[in-house]
Amino acid sequence: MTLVESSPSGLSVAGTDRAALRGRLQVDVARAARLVAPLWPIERFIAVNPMQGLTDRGFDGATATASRWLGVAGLPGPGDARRALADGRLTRADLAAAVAEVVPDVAGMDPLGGPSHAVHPAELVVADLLSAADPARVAAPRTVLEAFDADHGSSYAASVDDEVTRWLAILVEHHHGPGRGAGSLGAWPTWLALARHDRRLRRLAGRDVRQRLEGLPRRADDAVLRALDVLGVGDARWTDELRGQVARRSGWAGFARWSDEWAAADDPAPRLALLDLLAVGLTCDALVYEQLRGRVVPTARPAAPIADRDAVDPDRITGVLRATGLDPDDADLRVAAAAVLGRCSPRQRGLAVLAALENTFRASLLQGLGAGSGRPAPATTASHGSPAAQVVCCIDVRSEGLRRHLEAVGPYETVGFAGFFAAAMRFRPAGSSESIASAPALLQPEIEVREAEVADGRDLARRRRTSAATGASFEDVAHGPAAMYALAEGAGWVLGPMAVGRTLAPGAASRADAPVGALCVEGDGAVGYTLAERALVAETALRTMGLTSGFAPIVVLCGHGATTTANPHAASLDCGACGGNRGAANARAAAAVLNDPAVRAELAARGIAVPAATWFVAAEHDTTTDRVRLFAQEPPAVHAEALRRLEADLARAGERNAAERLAALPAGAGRAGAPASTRARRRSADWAQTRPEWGLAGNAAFLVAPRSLSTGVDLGGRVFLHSYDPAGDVEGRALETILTAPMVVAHWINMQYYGSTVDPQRWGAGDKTLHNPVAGVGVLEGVGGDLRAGLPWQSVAGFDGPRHEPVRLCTVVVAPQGRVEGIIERNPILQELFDGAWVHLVVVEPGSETWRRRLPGGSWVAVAASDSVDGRAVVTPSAGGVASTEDGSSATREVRS
Amino acid sequence: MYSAVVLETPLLLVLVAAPSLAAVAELLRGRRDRSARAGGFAVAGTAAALGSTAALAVLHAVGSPATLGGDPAWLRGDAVTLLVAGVASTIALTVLVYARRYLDPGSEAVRTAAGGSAVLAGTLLVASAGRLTVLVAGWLLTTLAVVALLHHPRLPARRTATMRTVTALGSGDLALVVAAVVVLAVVGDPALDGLGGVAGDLQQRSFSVVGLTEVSVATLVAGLLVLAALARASQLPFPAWLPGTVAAPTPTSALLHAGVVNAGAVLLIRSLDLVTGVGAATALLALATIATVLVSAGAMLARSDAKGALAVSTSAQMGFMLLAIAVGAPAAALTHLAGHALYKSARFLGVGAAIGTAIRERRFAPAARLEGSAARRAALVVVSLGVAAVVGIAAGLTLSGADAWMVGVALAVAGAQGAWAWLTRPLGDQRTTVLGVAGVTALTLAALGVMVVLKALLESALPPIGDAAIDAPLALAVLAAGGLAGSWVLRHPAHAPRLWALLAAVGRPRPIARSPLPPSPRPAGAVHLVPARSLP
Repeated sequence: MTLVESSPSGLSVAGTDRAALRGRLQVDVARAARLVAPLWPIERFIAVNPMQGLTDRGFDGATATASRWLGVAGLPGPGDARRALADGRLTRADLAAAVAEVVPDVAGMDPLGGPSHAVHPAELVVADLLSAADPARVAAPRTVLEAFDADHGSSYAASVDDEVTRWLAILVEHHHGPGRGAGSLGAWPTWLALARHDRRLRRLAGRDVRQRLEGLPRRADDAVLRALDVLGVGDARWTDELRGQVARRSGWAGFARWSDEWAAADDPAPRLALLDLLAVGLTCDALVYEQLRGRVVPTARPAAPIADRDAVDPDRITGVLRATGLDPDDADLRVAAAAVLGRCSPRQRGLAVLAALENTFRASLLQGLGAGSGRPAPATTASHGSPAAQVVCCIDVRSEGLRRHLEAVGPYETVGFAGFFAAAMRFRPAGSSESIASAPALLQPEIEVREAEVADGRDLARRRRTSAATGASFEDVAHGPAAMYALAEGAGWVLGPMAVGRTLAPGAASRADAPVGALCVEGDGAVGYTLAERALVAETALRTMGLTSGFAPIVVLCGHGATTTANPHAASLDCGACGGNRGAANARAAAAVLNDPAVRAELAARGIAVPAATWFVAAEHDTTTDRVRLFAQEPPAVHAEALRRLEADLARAGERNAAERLAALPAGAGRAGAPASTRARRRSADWAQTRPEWGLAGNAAFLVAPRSLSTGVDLGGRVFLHSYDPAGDVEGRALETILTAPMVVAHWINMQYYGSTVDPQRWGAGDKTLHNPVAGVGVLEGVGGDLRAGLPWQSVAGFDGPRHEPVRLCTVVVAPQGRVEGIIERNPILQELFDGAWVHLVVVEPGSETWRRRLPGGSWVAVAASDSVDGRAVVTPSAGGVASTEDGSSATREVRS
Repeated sequence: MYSAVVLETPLLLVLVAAPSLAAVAELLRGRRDRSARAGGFAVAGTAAALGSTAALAVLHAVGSPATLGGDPAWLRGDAVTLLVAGVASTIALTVLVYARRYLDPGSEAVRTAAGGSAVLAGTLLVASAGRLTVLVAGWLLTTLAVVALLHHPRLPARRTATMRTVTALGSGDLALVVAAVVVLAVVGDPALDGLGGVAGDLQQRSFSVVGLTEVSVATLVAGLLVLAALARASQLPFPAWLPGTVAAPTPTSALLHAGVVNAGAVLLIRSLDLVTGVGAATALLALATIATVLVSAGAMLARSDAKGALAVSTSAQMGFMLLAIAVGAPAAALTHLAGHALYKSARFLGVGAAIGTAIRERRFAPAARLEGSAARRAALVVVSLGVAAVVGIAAGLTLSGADAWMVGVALAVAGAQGAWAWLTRPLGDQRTTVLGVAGVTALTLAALGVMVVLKALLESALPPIGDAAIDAPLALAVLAAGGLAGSWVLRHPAHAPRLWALLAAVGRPRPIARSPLPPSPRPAGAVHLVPARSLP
């Protein structure tokens, strides 16, 4: 009878040994935590790369690791290929080329069949791929208890997971951040107190569990060490066991990672320490295991959990040969076909599908932008006309449509810049007791900007506080054990008719614009910016977007936000550059800064001459209703007329954009005859609508170039557009800022949508109709289970299938190649992204017609004209709506002269 | 009580038939074409039912209650019918319109549309039943519809919930069917006018239980009816089946309030004379509901997920409703039925806004705190109690008997808590504070007004009340004490861990740990095969 593996040796009671053990544990916990991405509280949903902790392994390595530990496929499957084929986005030739690229062995093999009908081995693989089923997600045993279950056919681990996730929800809800929650002990002591009386744990772990819990250490890390000991996990395998524990509750573990690594010290959100999570999980495992191992013979854990090859059975060979028109009964052909199929693993097939989708998209994008057409790339952003206004929009893909339509309806130029307009700040609305971090998640802003409490003669703070106090009092009574009966009865007569109205006639009551107060951007550096800081904000913004001369009379800084109703994932549609919040505050702050005469004087001293007549005005684009609200309080009289015309043009552009977007949404037609803006408004006010807008679904590329490269090209709302002036940025500082900040944000967004499409159960949040808000930080799917991370299925898919095409971000830069190479060399993060194949990079020199793609490793390959797609262009997947096919090759291009 | 003049009308048939036909139509269309958008027939059927209710209400207002059928009538449309049918149809219509937009085309949408129509059909049948057999038929139809709504062949959480629901509802249905069979055997199919007429006959028959005691048939039937109502409303001693239903999509949770959980009250009111005449049955009802209210209110505080908290609070609310019947206040029970059904279904539909609302309130609302001098604190208490007193006096003046107690105390407590919540959130402005307190009082009095009006409308359809087995003030005192104690104790898990652990597990299926080996108890102090190093 074999005993369990040897426990860690030399466990002495000496203090230094204990400290050393704890230190080692911390290191291993940090290593294990990287398996999951940090999960922000849902009211400020930040799109994160699900493999954010594994980026140093490269895309291949990271997906393989995630596949082993989380049971995700990590790659598109045969279903995606079939759908793309049916939509017309891919051809078999594309797939064959991708297979040849991904599996060079197959490319080098001889064609099958005779000279009359030669079939390239890659085509054989393609035929096999298209007829395959989606790979099954195998959950390999990752922890000791799961291994036990695998050996004995029991389900202890699943039951323990149910209990642990239930406990974690309770602990998170009641263990608030510092300074809140009176009388709260740590999470681990609270759990010890609760678990002692839990009958369900007794059922799982034996009747004497209470005594065993008494003997547990009071510190979470000691408890982890003890549990690892009980489970018989040797030193060398601590990380593996911890990884397995993290993988079993990846949602809460992600929240714990945010809580430990990213949450600000004074953040009012609840917290969960990863060590507490591991302590609870491992202790439950240990308690169950303790009572089991005395009775059963532990066997060795299976070595290699998942075979990387699948069986090549005769039916498969027959099918493949028949599909490619070869004789299925020819023995030689069968042997050759088996050899070919055996060379290609399921992972490689997935990589091939991914490569095919990406190659096709890239080719159509570049063709749309003018590659291979003989047209040189623009060298500068200097405007060629005299626009009535310049509109600076966020790089968000949804701005692309508005910008395109706006440029078509009037003499306007549009510019792309990150939606926080370089004004990273903590925004405190009037009446609020907290300040909200309104900046990209990578930044930790410290300066607080406050909203004036009085606006237009109305006391904003009092109004908001009163309304919130009413709501809070209502909730108090609704949860009061004695008071809730009468409240339910009485309130029903009000809430009932309201519910009827909201369901039968959504959006009938038109919402007036909420009043806003002026922002006080001047200050001492703690509250408000100093003059030097304001000048820095202004200079950074203008230089990075390349707007240093040729100012129009009006410059609009247009942030964005989304209006949805009863949507837990509302923040996923808001501006990621503003930390998952609406962009109006940053736009207003930036406009206030840029209109300040003192700041203008500073800018002039630094070489940017803003004409005195130019006026900056803030705006917010509501991406669900396509309405742009201008925050034009007290405009100078000279601009009144132009402003009025601008508002009218924005409304017209918004109307067209809304019509285009609604055509692609399932059931977007709505009531016939209603204008698009009304239909969009109704959709945004409808609490029964799971798809108020598509958000960033379909995002696939990041363009860093003067706008003239893409003016007039219909990019289908799939491209992040950042303006860049190659001529004005000789040192490359602006480009470096763009690549190391907004591009990383775009990469995170792209990978979040990728993960939620490719693996909706593990990396996505599942079915939105089952979502159950929990602990004020996230959602569960249904009655229990793990906290859900990522985007719900309805955000990435329509009725017929995914709307988002799972491809990696393709960055296109107009800049000298040397500049780009130097920037990559200076920044490890970019080396990780580009060499690790997380993001593709295409560069075109300003004024040249040669487009080059950077391969992982640093070599460059020219993008040949023959890579074009013969008229097939930027097609978005049709999923219940009308497929929007934009033919890039025949797009109208208005060359502004 | 019941007017002698009645009006025969086929409207009642439309009321019941429209949603039934709609359910069948949805099923047929779903079978033929999975990808078609489901819900059109369901909405039409529900709208027809609502229209019939409105027409019947008009008829009732100008003339007399409608009936359909022989003697006793199969269906009838008195005030109770109209209230329940109106509320149920409104909720069902709203939810089915919601579900049509909310659910993607597929089997779930078909299931919701067909199941929802069937639930409404069953509820309407129960509400408009003139005879016991019709009521039982409607009851069973509703149970079937609920199980069909919850069942999902592949998802394990739904399967577990369905099993639990089948157990709980099945036992209740069994009790109802046995009671009906007994009544049919003894007195035939009686009219549902409180069953007072047949109570006497049933009292005379008796049978012996294991040769020890003689139990009258009336006691048996009353007890079984009470059990059926308790099971339907997810009360103790039956397993709590409501929390598991959260595994189904949001519209299903909302639909359960369109007459599934509330049907117990209708059943008991239609047999009020019989049930209140049997002391044991009323006592059972009162004890079970008080226990459920205390446990469920606590469990609601211990739930961290929004939908779970709503589902558990429904158990408590249903307990309150059935308790009102036990203390002899059926009008209060019906008004509570109607108001709560509208409230809870609206809250389920809007549950997605839970976190956003909570965050906004956290940011902008002043934190509730009790500060200041002792005099100031005492003043706050006095004002809150003053609001309670005003409401209580108003209730005492406008209502009478057990109704006054149930409604009055409930409203008084709610008013006091509302005033307290407002007063402890100082906005720094005298005027706002005073206006707030006045507003709370006005709203509470308005709610009282609604209940008074409803009671007046229902008067004609309710049988006269006999002696209640339990005194209303006593029941309310127990509830209030338990509620206050619970809310203080349960503010944080660490205050009362044993209680918290118990309450946090309410409604959850037991953990399953399938193992090929039978579990063996480990005696304390046994030798472990591998010494577990206990780390100091």
